[in-house]
Amino acid sequence: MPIWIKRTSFYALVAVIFVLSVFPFYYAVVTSFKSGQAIFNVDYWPTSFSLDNYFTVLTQGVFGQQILNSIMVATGVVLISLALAVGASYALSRIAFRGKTLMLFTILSVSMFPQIAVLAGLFELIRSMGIYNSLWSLVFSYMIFTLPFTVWVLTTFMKALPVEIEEAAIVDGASPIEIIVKVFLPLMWPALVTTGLLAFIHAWNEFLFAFTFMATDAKRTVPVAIAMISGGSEFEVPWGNIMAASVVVTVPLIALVLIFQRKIVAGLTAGAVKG
Amino acid sequence: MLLVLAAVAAYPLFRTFYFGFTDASLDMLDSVNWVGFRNYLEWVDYGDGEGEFFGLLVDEVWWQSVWNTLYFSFVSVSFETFFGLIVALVLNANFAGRGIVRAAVLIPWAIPTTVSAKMWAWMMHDQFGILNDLLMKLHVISEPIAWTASSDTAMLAVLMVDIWKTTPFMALLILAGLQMVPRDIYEAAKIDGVHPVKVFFKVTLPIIRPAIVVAIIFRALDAMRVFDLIYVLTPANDDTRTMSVFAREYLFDFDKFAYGSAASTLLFLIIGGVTITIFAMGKTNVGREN
Amino acid sequence: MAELQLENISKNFGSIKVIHDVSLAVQQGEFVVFVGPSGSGKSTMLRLIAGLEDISSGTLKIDGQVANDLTPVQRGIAMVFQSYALYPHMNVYDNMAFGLRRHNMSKTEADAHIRDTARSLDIEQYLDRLPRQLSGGQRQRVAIGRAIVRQPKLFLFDEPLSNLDAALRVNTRLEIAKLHERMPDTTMIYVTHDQIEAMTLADRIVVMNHGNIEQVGTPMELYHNPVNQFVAEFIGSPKMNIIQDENAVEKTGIRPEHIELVADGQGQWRGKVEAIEELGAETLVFVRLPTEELVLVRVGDDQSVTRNDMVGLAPIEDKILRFNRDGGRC
Repeated sequence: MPIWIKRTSFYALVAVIFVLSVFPFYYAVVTSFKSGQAIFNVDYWPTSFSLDNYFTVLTQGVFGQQILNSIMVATGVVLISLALAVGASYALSRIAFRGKTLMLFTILSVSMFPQIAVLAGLFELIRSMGIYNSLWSLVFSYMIFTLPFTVWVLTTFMKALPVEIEEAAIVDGASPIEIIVKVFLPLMWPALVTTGLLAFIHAWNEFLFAFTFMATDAKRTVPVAIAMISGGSEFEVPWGNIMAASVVVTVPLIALVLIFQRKIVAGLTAGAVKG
Repeated sequence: MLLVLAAVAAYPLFRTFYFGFTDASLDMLDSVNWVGFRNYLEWVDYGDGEGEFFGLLVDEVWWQSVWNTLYFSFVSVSFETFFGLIVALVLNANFAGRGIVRAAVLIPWAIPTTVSAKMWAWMMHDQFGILNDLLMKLHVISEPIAWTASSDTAMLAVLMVDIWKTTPFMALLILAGLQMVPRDIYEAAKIDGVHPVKVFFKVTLPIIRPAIVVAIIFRALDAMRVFDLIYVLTPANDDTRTMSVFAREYLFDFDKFAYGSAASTLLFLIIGGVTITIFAMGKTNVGREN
Repeated sequence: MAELQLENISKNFGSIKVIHDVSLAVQQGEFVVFVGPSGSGKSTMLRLIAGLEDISSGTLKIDGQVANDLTPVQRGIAMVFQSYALYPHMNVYDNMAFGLRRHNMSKTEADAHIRDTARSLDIEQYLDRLPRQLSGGQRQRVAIGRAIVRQPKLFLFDEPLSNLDAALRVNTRLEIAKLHERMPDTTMIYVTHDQIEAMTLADRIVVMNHGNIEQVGTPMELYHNPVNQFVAEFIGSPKMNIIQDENAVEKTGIRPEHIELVADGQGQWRGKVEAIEELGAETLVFVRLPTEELVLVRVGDDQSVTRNDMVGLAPIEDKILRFNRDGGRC
């Protein structure tokens, strides 16, 4: 086969992969900039640039509040799960005890639980704790998938940190707290950023719990809000608004992905390959 | 940390099991009665010698949703593995603009599932959707298809979106495996004059096989609990309802909390069983490699 | 400024005993090298002295005071680690300053002290750099600098040269020897598996094996008068030849440099030349005895044997060591 055919077909494949990956998002952007009846014409290229849909989404109803809800929940989940995981992974990576491997595997398998299996019990628990329809219910319940993952990745990372550095700090007279704060945390920034990002994305995207534990519109997070935008009837679905809202919700994630591409890839594969 | 995990996972799991044996309903979670296996199977006698079995184990809709789940998981994971392998091989090659393509590939993964469901729902709209428009222009179809509503295509629609959304994850895991293959193995094969296709099947594939097995296990577990995509893209549809959707509908939409709990319990057992089977198969496969 | 006394020290990891009742006294200002194969317990000994591991039984005294329960800082030690263990996120200056904080030193005093130390080690120009921006040899110097800036009573080295390449290893070895001269009052304990480092650096060498001390002595004592076959074989390079007697009970030990090649039929043994390695200044001749034993002979560069020659081997009588079946001297 001549080399140019090879090269052309390779780049054709690359192009196909690229277009398939970005097209739905691109098309949502194109749609979101259309107003009125224009939305019902199929266009492959941008034809108009109107911010009407964005204006409607952000000013009518509680979408702004819902974005804020999502930000608060995701941030809370990241902070709490990282704080808990740092301590736990320090113990798991440095202290030897019986059944440690089994415990690590149990922890990891919890993150692969079918979430519906705990939904009924969790619902009861959240109601009895009095946090039903409160953002805390989500911060609490999201620990089920963020904690195992963060503990797993941070433990793997801590194990890779040389024990000698810790010992050097002991010889230098640092206390255990100083060792964690002054020596470990600075070294763990990359791992903390990676796991924090993944926890954030998970929490931001979660649907089932957010849909079940929140009863009122003003408390909902954005994935639920978007799923529930509807018009008066089947034929009045406000597609323009939905696409505008989708773009608003997705853009920060895509920005995160573009900026932290390497860290995210590293985190995703660390969670899986080491398993 | 362990306490939190116990509170958020173990305790609710056992409460779910428990509710499956009661007459719990959404408004009366405090005063529930033990009813044994009635939610699973019960013989109702009509008094004249006639009678009928009721319960989850004879519920056709439930078994339909079990079948839907397994079918969905098998097909989606198979295609994702295949496409993921192709994408991973492409990303493993050196070419101009690789960074941009890699970032683009991550986009489907990063978009919230419900959002991608809505984006695709719009693209697959029966009257104004770009998919019908494109296929008609290409003369693949002669009239518009109601992708998400028609019972012939609903599952296909769900599968398309899921494969689109999760192939990146598969590709990344396989790519990580590919990057662990030492470069000099390829150079050795080149010097030996082995055909690239043969190198792929005889050298690359066996080396990255453990990575693929792990990726398949992760994805299969994830696919079997699928909920949001199906609930949003094709609501209340017998052809796509999975176990998770079934359980959630009974728990909260139909106010049969106990029945939903029983379904959740059964779902947990089925997924657990499949997981153990996959692990056993994966282990013997990997074991043979070693 | 410290005397060190180990009295019947033992260390168990679970049910496994890795150090057996070790006793040793180290004088102030002495440079003592622990040497032994891997798993001999030499690194564990160092960590027990440092306070990084707890002593299971026995007494450790520093300057006559029991130090078993003292922290590393209270013991007044500093340590150079095998991997250097520099704090990767701190620059060279901060690495050196980190351990100084509890030394009741004013900021300006500490600063002057760090800069003096850095100058003496020739790393002054790297103070702002991070460890990863330095070469292996420079990192090694920073690790030493971090240790001496604390003015320790006891200076511990854990295989500090093993991560350097051969040429750098010789240089750094010389520098550590000079360091010892510059700090005549500081007691230094150095662990290595490399007997050349031990021979060149030590005032006294402690040979360890299976958690026991085999022998303690000056380098030349160990070379000329090892107490047993293990020490005899461990010290000296190339290693000592051990030849079974005909009665198969006792063994003769003779170093390669203490055998002469003579004509076939003369000398104590005869054998066939199997291989010759010419190293320039010297030549190594491998001779296969009829008993299948291989004997190494170290000769000058003027030797004229060729492969497959039959030769005679004549040991220098007063260099011969005799060992019994258990490896002890007899």
